[in-house]
Amino acid sequence: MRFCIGVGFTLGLFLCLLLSPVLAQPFPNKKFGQEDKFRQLEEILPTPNGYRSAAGEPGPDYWQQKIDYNIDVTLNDQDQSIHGSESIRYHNLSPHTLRYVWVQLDANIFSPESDASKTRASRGIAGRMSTFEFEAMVLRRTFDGGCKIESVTNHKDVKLATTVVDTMMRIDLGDPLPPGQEMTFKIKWNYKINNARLLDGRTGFEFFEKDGNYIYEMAQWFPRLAAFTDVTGWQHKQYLGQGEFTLEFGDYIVRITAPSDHLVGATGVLQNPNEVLTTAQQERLVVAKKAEKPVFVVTPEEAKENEKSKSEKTKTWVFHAENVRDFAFASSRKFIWDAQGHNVNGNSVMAMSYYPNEAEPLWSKYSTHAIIHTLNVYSRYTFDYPYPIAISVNGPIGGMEYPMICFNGPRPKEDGTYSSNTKYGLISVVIHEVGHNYFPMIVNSDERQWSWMDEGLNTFLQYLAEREWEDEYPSQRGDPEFIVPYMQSSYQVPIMTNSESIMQFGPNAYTKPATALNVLRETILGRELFDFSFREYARRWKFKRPMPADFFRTMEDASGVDLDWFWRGWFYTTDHCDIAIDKIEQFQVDPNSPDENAEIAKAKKAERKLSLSKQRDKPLEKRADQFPELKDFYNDHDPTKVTDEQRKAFEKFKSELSEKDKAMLESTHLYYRVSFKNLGGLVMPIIFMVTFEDGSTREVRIPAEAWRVDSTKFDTLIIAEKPLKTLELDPYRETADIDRNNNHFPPVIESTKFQLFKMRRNADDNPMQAAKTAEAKAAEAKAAEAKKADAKKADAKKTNELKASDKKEPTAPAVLENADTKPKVEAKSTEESKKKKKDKTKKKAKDGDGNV
Amino acid sequence: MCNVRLVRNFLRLSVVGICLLFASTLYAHPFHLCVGQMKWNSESNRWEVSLRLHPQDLEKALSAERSKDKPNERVSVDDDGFSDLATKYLDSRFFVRKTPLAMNAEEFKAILRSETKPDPELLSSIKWVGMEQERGWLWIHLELKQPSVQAEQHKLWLVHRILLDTVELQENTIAIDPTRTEKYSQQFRSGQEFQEMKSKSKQPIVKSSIPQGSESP
Repeated sequence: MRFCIGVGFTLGLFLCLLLSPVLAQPFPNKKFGQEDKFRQLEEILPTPNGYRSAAGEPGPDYWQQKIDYNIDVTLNDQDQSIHGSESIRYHNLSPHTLRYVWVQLDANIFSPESDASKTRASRGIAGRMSTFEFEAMVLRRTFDGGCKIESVTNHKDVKLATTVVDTMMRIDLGDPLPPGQEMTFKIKWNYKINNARLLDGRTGFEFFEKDGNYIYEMAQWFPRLAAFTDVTGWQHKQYLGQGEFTLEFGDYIVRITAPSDHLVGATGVLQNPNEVLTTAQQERLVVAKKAEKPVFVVTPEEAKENEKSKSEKTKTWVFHAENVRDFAFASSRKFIWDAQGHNVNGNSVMAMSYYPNEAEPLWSKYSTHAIIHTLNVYSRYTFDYPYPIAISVNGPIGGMEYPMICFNGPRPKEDGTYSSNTKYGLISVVIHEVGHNYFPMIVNSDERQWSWMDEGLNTFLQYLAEREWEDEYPSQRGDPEFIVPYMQSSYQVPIMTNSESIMQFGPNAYTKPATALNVLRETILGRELFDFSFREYARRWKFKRPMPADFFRTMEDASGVDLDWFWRGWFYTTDHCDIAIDKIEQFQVDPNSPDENAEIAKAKKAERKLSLSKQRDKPLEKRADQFPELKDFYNDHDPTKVTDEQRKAFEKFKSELSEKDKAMLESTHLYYRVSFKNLGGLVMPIIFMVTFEDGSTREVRIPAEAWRVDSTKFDTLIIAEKPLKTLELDPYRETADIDRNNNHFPPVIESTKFQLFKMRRNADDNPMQAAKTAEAKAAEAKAAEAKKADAKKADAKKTNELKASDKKEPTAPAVLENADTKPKVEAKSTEESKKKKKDKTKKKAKDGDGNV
Repeated sequence: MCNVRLVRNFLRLSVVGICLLFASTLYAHPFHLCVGQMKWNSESNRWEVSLRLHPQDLEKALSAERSKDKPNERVSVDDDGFSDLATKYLDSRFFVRKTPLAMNAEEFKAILRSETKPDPELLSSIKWVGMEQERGWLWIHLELKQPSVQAEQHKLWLVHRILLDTVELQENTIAIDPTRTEKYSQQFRSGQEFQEMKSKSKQPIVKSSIPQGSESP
């Protein structure tokens, strides 16, 4: 089959290419000048071993420590301090003998001498500063909320040597602890609780000036054994604020002594309701367990009344929690309490919310509903929620998660009204923080090292849960189009960056990984493959400690798709997606005989305008004309003239064609070669929509592997029966392509956010006015129509009268009269409408100026 | 600097302020970010600017500004005069300033510090176009008229200190599109409140930015 270039058109777009540095491969290829975007990650990921397999699951030798706590703690409402003692049983399930253990003293972050305080970046203080901020700034340098260790002893009450290193404390065990053995030791401590409104953190109190009460949200509050793992050894990276924590699983008995009029909510199941709850409260809890909707255990009115008591007596609340990696609690006399039992595939869970009257009416409406919704959706995508309790508490902490309990901040205004931002802010944050039960409270990733492993995965699931809350839910994270402004920035660090070194934390650790997983699910793998793989990851690492490689490997292992290019691009680099249409060429099969082609060529030549030089040279006298003897064969030879040999060859070619070949030769198909350029560096599937001249469309989806040899350009072929009219890259905006101006053929400059706003503003300048104008116009038209009908009636009457009078008078004047009247009416309407238009334009201009 | 009067004024503000939680402070890692897009319109000879930030952060900053005159009033995006207040605020925190070509960053920093009333000829002027809320974020749309410059004599600096003096850990980034082929982005945070505007071929900006009939200083 012969092809010849038919009408060719080229689309010139960006000429400059962003050259990717030739990185991330051990020996840079200096000849090709390109990074191998599909190079396997085995050079970067840790070598699989007996603890963690190449498939991404726990290996046959996988181990993790277990630590059980028995804690007595007293919350002092008078001076906002906490005093505790704990007995720790450490089960050494590692293959290593331990001579010392490391303990996290996270409260030390509130010491002015902590690394966190000393390295905290200060904002400029040249501008105006509220006393609130000023107080906070000074307090950070003066308030000592560090943990005061009173004693550390072994089970025989023999003092153990300790060394405190900022937020970490080493306890020398004396006798080494061999593999498979356990030991018990005790710690007594106390510290002053921080005012969480002034010294932001993940824990602290809020003071309510108008009633003199406090809400305490206590987290990271007791000396907790650091994780000891096959990957990091002791995870004793200092607590600087961003990298939250990672701990070991264990069982807890916690006795919390608080003012007797306080309500306490905590990780775990309350063991002594008879001692701390009223009969009414206990009865309501029984009702709540089987209720269809949340039930008040403590009503708003009761909470209001309780605020006045200020009891000096105390009560001790006893909680028991199994297989949790931490323990947190909240305490206040201001709490309203609602609850609803919920069955998660056989597991009976009590969903509960604690909040002050200041949080109403928002909280009783949404908080517990959002908890149950989260358990339903997350359990479907991961595993069934395994704990008996799920609590959401309102207090000073904006949003923070612990096993079975989380703290969430949004409240309505003082008058009880709230904006849609507050409403959806509350629903989203409850979904998010309850969702953290799955990642990282149960799938126990290391937050101090990799924030994205819990924040990113959880934000992705939060997005899915929000999709199921209501149509058009205003999700802030997960939609590829919404991350474009961040991806356009060149000031970024890769997702694979330590928690403390992340720049632009929100977009980096939450939004980008959530968006990446959404893209992986919707565009790369499809929902079925992705959901299976993601669920498998959750199943494999439930109550275990995964690392990034375990996630990457499991997703590939379970989906059967090599995703190394995806992890490399989205997680290890700061590349962004910007695929451009470079050019489109059109080809057509040539079925013509040599004579037909010669005619076409001749016609084309004739159509072509002579160059200026040739036109000007024409009158010149030529030497060959003066001396004809200079002319020979070549002067008369026409190279485009078809020879008999060519005719014969064509006939022979045709006669030898099979019927199939003949049909192909005679087909009228059009062939388009479309060239794409990858300007952003990130390799992504090429998705485009072709629209043909007859209006029909075709969607084409080319996998990202198209870039596997050359990651900068790719050509594809479209065979069509109809001429191509337009082509649009990424029509569904699913790749976070940062520049859509190069996504169209023929070129279309897409409006910026600014231009879209301006257009919309002009269109919707005053919808009420527009509706009024339309109404007036309709009335005008109706009146005109009525007038016309009346005129017609009058005409008919007149005609009848004329007929009746034996046509004594000529009809022309009557017709003329009608003919004159009509244009006049129209002319008037046009003038009126012009005047109205002019007035409207004037008004618009004024409004515009008014906005300046 | 903070003085006694300031402390007293803001004390009342803080009582209101501490009851509010910002959307940006939800979740375990509060962050404060302003992302923006800035595109040159060669027909209008203006920069078209869109900034996306947390509305609560801007409300906080404007409340601080207003407290000079009305200490108890808290500014809300829903207020009638919000656009006027915001324009006034943005005018002194988001602008383009020209300097002689030879001036370096340290010298420019010194100028920014010392200058109380800069010559308007050296500065861009701002025009409020409008604002809209999207999924909890606030978009602000502005037009910026650039001071007239000559490529051989001047350079341009973009000052973007929106919220940097009010909100701790605020980060501002902006994608700048001076011509179709020269996109770049810049970042601003405390201690880095300005950046030199760059363009490989300054011609398209510079040419179009000189108003007809005007003379370059």
